[in-house]
Amino acid sequence: MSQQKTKVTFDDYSLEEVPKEQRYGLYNLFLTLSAAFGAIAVIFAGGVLGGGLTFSDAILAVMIGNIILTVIGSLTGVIGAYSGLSTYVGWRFPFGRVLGKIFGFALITVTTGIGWFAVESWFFGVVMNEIYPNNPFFSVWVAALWGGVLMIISTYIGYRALSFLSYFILPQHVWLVAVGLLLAVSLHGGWGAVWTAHPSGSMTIAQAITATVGLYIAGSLIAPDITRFAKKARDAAVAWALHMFVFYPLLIIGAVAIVLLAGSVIVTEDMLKLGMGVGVLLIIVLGQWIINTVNLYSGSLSFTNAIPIRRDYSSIIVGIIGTILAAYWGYSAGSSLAPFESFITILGSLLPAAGGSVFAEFFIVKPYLEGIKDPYLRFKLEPGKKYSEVNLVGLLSFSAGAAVGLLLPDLGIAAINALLVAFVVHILLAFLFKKANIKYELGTYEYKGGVVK
Amino acid sequence: MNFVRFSLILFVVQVLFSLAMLLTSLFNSNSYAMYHTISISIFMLLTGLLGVYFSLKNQLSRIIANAWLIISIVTAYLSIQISPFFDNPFKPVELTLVSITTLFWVIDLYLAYRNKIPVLKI
Repeated sequence: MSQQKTKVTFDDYSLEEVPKEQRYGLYNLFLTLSAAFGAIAVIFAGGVLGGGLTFSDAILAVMIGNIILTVIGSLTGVIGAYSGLSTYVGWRFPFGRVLGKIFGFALITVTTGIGWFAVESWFFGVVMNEIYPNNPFFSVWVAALWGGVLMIISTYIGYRALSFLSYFILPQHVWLVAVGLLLAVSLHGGWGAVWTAHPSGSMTIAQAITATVGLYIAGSLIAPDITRFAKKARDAAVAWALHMFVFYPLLIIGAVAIVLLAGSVIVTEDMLKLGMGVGVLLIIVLGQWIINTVNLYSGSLSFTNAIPIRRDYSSIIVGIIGTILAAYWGYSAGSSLAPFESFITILGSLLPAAGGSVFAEFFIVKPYLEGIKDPYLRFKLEPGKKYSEVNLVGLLSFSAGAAVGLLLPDLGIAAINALLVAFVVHILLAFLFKKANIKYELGTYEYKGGVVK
Repeated sequence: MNFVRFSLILFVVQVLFSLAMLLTSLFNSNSYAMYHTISISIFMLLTGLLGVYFSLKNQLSRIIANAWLIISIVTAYLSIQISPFFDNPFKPVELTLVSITTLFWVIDLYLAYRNKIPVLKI
C-alpha cells in the first residue's frame, strides 16, 4: 500500500488530474513559480537592457513587458488550476490526443527538457571551471556531468523537491542579489547616478519590451505544470501576478542599474569583487540547480505525455540525454553548441502559437460554442467519454500563428502576434466548421479512467 | 514537548537575538556592515514576532513557512559575511547569534517532519 503511494507521489499525477487533497496553497505556488527566476539568465537579460536604455526607460519597458506576461501567465495558470492537468495533457483538448503528444514532445521535451537543460548544465560546468580552474573535479565536462546528475535527482523526486528547493533557494537568492546590487550601486555613485547615467549603446523601448516578454513567454505558457497543484484558480492567478512583480523587476532592474553604473554586464563579477565569493557560488550553483530542475520537470512531463511511462522514469531518460550533451560540449570546448541553440530557439518560438489555440479553446470555444460554462469541466477527463485523436482546428490555428511568428519576426512582438493570430483563427475556424456542420475532430479515443494513455 | 509550544520558545529567543543584534549596530562604525546588520536584525525581529503570533494562534502551516523563510535568509546573510565590506568588531557575536538561529529552525523543521507534520505543504 505504502509502496503504491510512493509511486503516485513521485509520478506527480503526470497523466491525470491532481486530486484536490494533494494541492498546495498560495505561498507554495508563489515560491515554486518563482523558481524560474533562479536563472542567472534573468540578471544577464537586465544587463542587456542596461546596455541600451536609460534607467527610467528600462523601468517602463520592464513594467509593460511584465503586465503582458502577467496577463498571459495568469490565464494559463488558471487553466491549470481548473483542470488539474499538466500543460501537455491539457493540449489534448485543443489539438487532439496525437497532436497534443507530438506538440508537447517537439516544443517542450526537445527544447526545454533536453536542449535548455543541456545548455544550462554545460554553463554550470563552465562557471564551476572558472571558479576552480585547476581542479579536475571542476573541469567543464566533469562539473557538467555531476551537476546534471544532481539536477536529475531533484527532478526525479518531482514537485516536492521543487518546493523544497524553492523554499530554501529563492528568498536566499533575492537577499544575495539585493545586497550585491546595493553595495555595487553605493560604490559606483549611488541611486542618483543611476537615474542620470547614459547607456553605452541604443535600444528602442519596443525592442526592450520584446526582449522582456521573449525571455519568459515560454514559462508563462507552461504555467499549468506548476499551477495544476493550486487549491484554487484564484491562488494560481494571484501567485503568478505576485511572482511577476516581486522577483522579476528586482532582478532585471537591479541588473540594469549595475550595468549603467559599472559598465559590466556580469553582476556576479561585481559581487566577486566585493568579496562575496560564497554568496556568488550559492547564486550560481543553487540558481542553476533550481532552473534546470524546472526545465527537466517540464521536459519529463511532456515526455511522459508522449510516451506513457512514469514521470520519474522519464526525468531520468531525458536528463541523461541532456547531461551527455552538456558533458560532450564541455569535452569538445563548446563545439556544435551554437547551431543546436539556434535550432531549439526556433522550435521554442512556435510555443506561443500553441498557447493561442489553448486560450481560444478554453475561454471561447468550450463555453460559448460547446456550452460548457463550468470552467472545471472544460478540460476535464471523464471516464467513458470519447476524445478526438486530431483536432483540425487546433492544427490549422497553430500553423497560422506559427507562420506569422516565424515570417514576421520584426513586426511588434512576434510571440504576441503568433499567440493572437492562433487565438483568432482557432475561434473563427471552430465557429465556421460548426456552422457548416463539418466534423473537425478526427478519430476517437475513449478515456477509461486513471492515467490517460 | 508540543511542536507549536517549542516553536513559540524558539521565536521568542529569536526576537531577543534580533534585539541584541540591533543594539550592536549602534556601536558599528562600518556603514556597510551596519546596514547589513540592521537589515537582518529587522528581518529576524519581524519574522520572530510573526512567529510568536502564529504560534499563539496555533497556525502550523504558517509556522513552517516562517521557518523556511528564516533558514533561507539567514544562510544568505551568513554566506556573505566573509566579505571584508562587512568587517566590524561585533562580527563574531552576530555570526554566533545567526548561526544558532539557523540551527534552531533546522531542528524545528526536523522535529516537525518526525511528527509527521507536512513540512513542504505550505
